[in-house]
Amino acid sequence: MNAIINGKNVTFEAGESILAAAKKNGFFIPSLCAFMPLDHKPGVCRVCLVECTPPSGAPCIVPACVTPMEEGMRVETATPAVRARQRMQAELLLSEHRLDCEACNRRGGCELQDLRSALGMDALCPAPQGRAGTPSAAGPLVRDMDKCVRCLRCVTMCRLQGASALRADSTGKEENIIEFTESACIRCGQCARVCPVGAIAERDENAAALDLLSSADTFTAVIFAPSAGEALKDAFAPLSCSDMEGRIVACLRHLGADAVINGDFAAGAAAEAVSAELRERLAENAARPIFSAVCPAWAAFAERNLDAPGDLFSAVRAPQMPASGLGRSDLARHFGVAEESMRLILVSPCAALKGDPNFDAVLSARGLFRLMNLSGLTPDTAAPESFDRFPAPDKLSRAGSRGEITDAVLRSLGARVRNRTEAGDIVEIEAELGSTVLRTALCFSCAKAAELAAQAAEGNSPYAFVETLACKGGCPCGGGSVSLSEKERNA
Amino acid sequence: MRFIYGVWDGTVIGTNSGSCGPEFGDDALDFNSGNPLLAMTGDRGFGIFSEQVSLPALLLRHCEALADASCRRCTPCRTGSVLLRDALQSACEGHGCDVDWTAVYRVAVQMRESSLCGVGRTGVVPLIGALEHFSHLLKTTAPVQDSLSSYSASTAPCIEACPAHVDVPRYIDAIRDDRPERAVEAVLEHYPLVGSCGRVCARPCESACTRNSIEDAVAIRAMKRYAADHAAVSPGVGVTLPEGPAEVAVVGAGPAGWNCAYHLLRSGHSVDIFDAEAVPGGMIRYGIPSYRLPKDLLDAESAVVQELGGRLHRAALGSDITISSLREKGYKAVFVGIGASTGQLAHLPEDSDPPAGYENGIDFLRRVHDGVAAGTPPAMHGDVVIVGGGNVAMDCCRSATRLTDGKVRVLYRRTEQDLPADHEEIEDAVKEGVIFHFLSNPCGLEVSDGRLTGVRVLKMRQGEPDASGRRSVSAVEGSEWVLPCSHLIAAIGQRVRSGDIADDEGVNKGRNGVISVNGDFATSRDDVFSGGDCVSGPDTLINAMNQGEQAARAIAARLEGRDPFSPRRRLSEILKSASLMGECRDWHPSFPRSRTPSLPVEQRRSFAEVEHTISPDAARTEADRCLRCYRLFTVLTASPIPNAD
Repeated sequence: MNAIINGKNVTFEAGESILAAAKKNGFFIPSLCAFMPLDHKPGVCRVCLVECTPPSGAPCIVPACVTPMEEGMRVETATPAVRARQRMQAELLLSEHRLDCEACNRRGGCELQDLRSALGMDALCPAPQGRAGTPSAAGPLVRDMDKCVRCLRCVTMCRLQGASALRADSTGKEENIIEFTESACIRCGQCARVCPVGAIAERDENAAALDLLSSADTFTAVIFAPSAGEALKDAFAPLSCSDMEGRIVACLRHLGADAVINGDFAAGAAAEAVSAELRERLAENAARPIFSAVCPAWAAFAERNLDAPGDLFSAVRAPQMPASGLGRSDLARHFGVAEESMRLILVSPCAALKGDPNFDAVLSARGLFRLMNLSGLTPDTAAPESFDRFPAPDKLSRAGSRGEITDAVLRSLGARVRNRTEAGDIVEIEAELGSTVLRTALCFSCAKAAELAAQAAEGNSPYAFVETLACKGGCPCGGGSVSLSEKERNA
Repeated sequence: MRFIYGVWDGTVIGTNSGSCGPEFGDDALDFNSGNPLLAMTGDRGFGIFSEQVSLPALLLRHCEALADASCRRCTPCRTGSVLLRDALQSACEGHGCDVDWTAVYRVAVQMRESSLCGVGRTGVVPLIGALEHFSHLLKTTAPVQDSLSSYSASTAPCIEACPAHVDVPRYIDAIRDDRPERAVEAVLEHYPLVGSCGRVCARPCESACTRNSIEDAVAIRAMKRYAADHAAVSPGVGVTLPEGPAEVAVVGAGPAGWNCAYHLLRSGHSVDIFDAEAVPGGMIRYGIPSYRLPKDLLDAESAVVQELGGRLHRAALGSDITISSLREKGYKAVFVGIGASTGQLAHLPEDSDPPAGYENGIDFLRRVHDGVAAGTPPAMHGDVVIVGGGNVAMDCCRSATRLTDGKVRVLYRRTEQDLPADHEEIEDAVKEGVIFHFLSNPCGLEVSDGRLTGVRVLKMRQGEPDASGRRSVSAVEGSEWVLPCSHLIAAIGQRVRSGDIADDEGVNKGRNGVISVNGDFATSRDDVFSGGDCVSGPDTLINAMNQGEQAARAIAARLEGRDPFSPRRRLSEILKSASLMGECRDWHPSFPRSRTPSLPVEQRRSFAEVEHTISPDAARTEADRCLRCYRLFTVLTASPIPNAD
């Protein structure tokens, strides 16, 4: 179909928004709340204003993200009048935003800063009011509503995660528009991954981590949780160097880590433990499957929302490191130091393990990325080194590419996978164990897994084993991995 | 009465300018009795009737209401409304000279051009008009005298069209926020039958919806049903009721009486309800078939009145109880909601001694109800003919298709375009096999052995439009033809059983036996109120429920010694009589209305519910179609306005 943008003919697909059609044809329209990775277009920030003349009417100002392009429409994205409207919208946004840029956790990656640059704003009118509220804790995260731009991306993401702990309230009574219910939060951290500004972010443990790393009295081991390495490599992807992991190890040692350990075999240890449970369940000929609870966000979801029989869930929980020989005393013994001087920093692909007492600090992959930036370290300048050797049992498997342990569980059981079908949020796996056929499911959605659990509680489950990872794409795309908006920008 | 000055539709109006602006009748001189209307703001501008009014004070009241009305989702309105209010606050404090009115104007125009909804887009119109033409009045140097009273309300075309003024955009917002329970709460402020109304309401809101001029009305009723079907709402904590015998007697447990009881109980007054039947519902139970309204839903939603402390007694007005006997028993007030439940036959010569097979629609639907409730729907044989074109006729013909082995036909004296029934009901009837005969009217029956065998029909022709605009119809001589049938059901009207109230009870009646009431639903007898079909004649569910609510307000005011005046109702009166509300003229992109899923025709043999609830995704998409056409109005008066909180 055809339309006109800024006097030039453009083509577009039926149903495409003006914003999408403009982008496709190389026209920039500043925007904030629209977020394509989630197909999120609430049309609330009102920044992406354009002048539009529909074939049937007079020119009018419309937001480009929620207005479909129409055949024969004329759109102006950058006349002085349009730009003045866009700029004013940004001014109004800034008038209620606490401008704390120097200390803000989103410095350098903030979409509001980018918007200001794109609009060429220097003098601000009206002047920022800057509310003087205080940030509040929200599980492993910190919410600072004085920085919130009400884009509602976190609300959409939290709904897609199945938790709906963040919800919008448009009665106007809720001062901050967005309500947070701690009891519904599953601590995945995906909300922080989509926030365009510094309104919601993980609790910052970088200072504590740096103290630990630089202290001479302690032996600080940095442990990579399963899939953390993948998530971290993603963060540094624009540098595109070889052996990224090795270079990150080198940077960490340079920062003061006394040991850097690849803890991804802990997934294998978990798989062993789960497969033992499964073997027992199969021997009992029980009709009900076992639901894995290794993903801590899924475990939190299940605990809060499901009224399932106790034996439905595996007893194996994250973190698995202490149980698989990576506990404080094991490490102290191995490295020949006193247990009291042992400090452990976990690097995790999500936010769910923050605050876990087994570790002295828990950094998400994104958190570590920022820590390295703060310290002026980039992997491309370091020569790769290897992880500390640690006597992990060789035959323990690693997690799958998405952080799943299903294949490891089946292998440990002695079963052979013969078929795999992927449909939406579920991967169905068929495996042969001797003469029986085992069906298992790998689920990437808490909501979907809840349906499977309800099915299982009624005795109608076709599966012997169900594994659930709370985040789409699995752990490498966990709540602590590189922010979706930055990913989109760097793509 | 006209404005002495103001800005309306972008033009300066008033005694010193060429234009007049809106015309207010003498009935608008006082807002409430003895309290003159001094100034007004709305979506088209502002106007001042009296020199006593200071413009900054008027605009401050309006902008305070605007900042309050903002839902805070979109940037311009959320941030701008506060800035406007603060600027006017400064002006009223005497610092108007120091305010940067150019900046304020820019913010107001930004709100008008880019706000998400009507609140921001129209709420700034009075201020923009004032800044463009009367800015000198805002540049104050001394604090403004402001001892006047005000009342503000936001409304929208759908809200005004609803007899109960349910806040439609608010419950649609709640659906957009994935909070169906909040949507239900918004409706519970007016009546408890949320899901029931969400299935059968005549939906005047949809007829008034702005989206009718874009593609189709928003599916408002379907969304109300969606909310009710998805929300787990507790009936709420009841208010403590006074000890001792009940204060109010409600006669009739149909929609008007049951809703009257609901509101009285919620405001702390104890109620006894009397009905000829053992269960509540009235016409909504016995007159609407189960395939439209499942009775277990009605039971569940009605139960709240009893949970709040209302007691239902079985008693028939006129035989077991009378208005006088109730007053003698000590009830401080009586509400009469006896409906218009007497069906009429088709004005045929055989009416005085109807043969078997000929009955009125109300009796027919009652038989159907009783049969379905007992699990044995009444079987019918042969062709069935229904006379009439309203919703009762549709209920009759669609019930008949489920019961008879023959054909079902509808005779309507006017044309298809004139059919008063809900057009989706008509579509469903056609889908279910009903055959319509237009410009056809019965004139007699064929009878054999006391049983109906056919109906004689006359063709009609259209004449000139009458006073109401409808074209009159008259019979075509000699056009008679016979339709064989074994059942003829007349669904052409209903009457009040006015004989239930004896003439010496002191309750005046009007045409066709309806009960006469004043604006507060009070009858000619002290402390006796009435509402619903027995007052308005056969009308909609929402009309009856609303009249029950308004009567309850009046009764509560009476019992508490308060003024029953309702500023909200008064505002609606003025908006209507002076045609004050503007149209929504902004261009909007077109998005099709969602379809309500329903049973395929082959499965519609039984009385199982035909329509289903829309899916959560469809509800969210449909909620996004709502344009939130809110318009904010503020009135200023000399003295405090009763019940203005």
